[in-house]
Amino acid sequence: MNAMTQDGYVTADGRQIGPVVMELKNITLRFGGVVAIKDISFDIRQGEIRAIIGPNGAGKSSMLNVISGFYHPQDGQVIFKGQPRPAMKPYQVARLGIARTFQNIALFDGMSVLDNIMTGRLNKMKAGFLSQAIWWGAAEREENENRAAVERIIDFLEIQNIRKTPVGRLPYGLKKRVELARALAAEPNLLLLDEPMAGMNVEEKEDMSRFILSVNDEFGTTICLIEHDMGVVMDLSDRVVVMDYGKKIGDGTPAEVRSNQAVIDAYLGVAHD
Amino acid sequence: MGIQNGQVPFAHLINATFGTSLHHFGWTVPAVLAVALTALIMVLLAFLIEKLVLQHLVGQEPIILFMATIGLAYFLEGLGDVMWGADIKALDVGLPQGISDGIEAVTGQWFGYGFFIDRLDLWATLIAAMLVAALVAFAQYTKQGRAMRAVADDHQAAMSVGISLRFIWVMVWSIAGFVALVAGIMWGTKSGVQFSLSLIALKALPVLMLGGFTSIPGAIVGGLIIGVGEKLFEFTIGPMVGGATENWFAYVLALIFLVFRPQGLFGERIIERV
Amino acid sequence: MDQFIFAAEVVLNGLMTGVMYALVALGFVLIFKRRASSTMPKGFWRCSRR
Repeated sequence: MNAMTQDGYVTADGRQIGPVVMELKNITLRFGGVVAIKDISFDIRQGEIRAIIGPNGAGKSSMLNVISGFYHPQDGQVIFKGQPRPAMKPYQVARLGIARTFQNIALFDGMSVLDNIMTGRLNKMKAGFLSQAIWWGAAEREENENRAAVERIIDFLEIQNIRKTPVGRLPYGLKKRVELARALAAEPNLLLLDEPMAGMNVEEKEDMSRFILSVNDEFGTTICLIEHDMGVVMDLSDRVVVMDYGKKIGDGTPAEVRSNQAVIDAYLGVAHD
Repeated sequence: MGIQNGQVPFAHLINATFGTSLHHFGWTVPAVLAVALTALIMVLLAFLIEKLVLQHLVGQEPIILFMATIGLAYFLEGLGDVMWGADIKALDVGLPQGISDGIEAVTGQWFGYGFFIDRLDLWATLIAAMLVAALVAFAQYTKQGRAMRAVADDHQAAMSVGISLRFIWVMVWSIAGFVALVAGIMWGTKSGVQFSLSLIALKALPVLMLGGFTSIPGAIVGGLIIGVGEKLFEFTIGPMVGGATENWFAYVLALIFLVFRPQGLFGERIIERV
Repeated sequence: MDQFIFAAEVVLNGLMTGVMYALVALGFVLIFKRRASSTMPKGFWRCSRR
């Protein structure tokens, strides 16, 4: 990594990273007496791929849930685009342009792939339902525009052949891809991926890595992802936060993190011995 | 509403308790105002029920909620009974009534026998069919309809794409209330406003068992099957068993479905997850 | 033949009643559809199955 400035930095592969979009300041999250996240601070910059890694139960998913509004921390601030964000419901966070996927896949099983992805654009649709009834033409045009955008994403993620298939019938790996498509359909400023490669075979993992990189490359989407698989994370991400037992034990480029003694002790040592 | 023609609420109760003979205020309320007042009172009632009853039952088993709502229904029925008396009241919203001469003449020409079709039935069918079509179109093609289906499918996912659960909740109840209002007006016109009207709502249950509780096409097909089924059954088998089969046919059919296809015709397969 | 025409009339009447039943049932479906998936169990089930 080149010198970090206020405005950003240039990555090893020459991509310009912008200013901070999302800053988490001294976040503490408790469930009753259990501390899931303890005083964690880090930031996510415009255009970068930021990873959060750590062993099972380290609090990674909780962190993502804090960012997406599913959990509300007892202490600390979430600062989005320079403004402290008040406690918000998940749907309000989504409307700010923060899209996410889930570790266990949350799709609408009864709907087709196409309809699932269309739900990602619900917030892009302006027309109320009365005006949809009265101004049929305008509603239809809007529908077509959204449809076109969704088709682009479908092409991009190479799922043309399953467009009409009900999601409930798809294999696991494809479901993960449809979920990514739905998140992308919202054209998010910040994309949160909760273990996008969990439970996949090597080939599926490679596909998913390729998609994540090209999403970042083509749309310039800022991505924050949680991953288990160290190898994948190191290849994908620009900067990595390492968590263990709810605490942050490392933060920096993959190379820096890899040589961090605390990380080696807590994570690599345990996982790869 | 009784207030429209100046009826005193709870007149019978008051008279019985105090030995008075109150029945009318001596003033009347214009229809529009009466409708507005009714709407206001219904909203107030909905609010009170939410606060006093349903809020305390959050997170309970569905059967408990179901029993609570049945209890509420009987309570409201009794309250209405005390308020206005149990006699049948005519409801006339201006729909044409009587046997349709046109249809009788045309079918008479075709078959040599004129069909007796009530004009009111025709209109009611038309309005109901239009409402059903509108609801299906709403659920299928509008933004809010999509959001509604999304919420029904998966709450977590729905929230993550920016759908407010509370908004959908209010919307769904309002639509259901509107549907109930229209259905109530039409059944009320057809058979008079009386408390046995609630039996119609009860008949929705076998319809739902047939169609599957969560399927819109199921409700439509189920309704048609039960409607045609009970009339045909009464026509063919009815005379052999002494008639009045319409009262139980729907429930027996539902019972048979419960045994052989518990999820209904269009329902999601019921899978026990262990 | 007469029986057949009577039956046709009965069916027609039944269809008209049926549409009204369907309307009432539809009101219920809207509510049940919303209720069908209670707050969060979906992911949970998937979790425990894997």
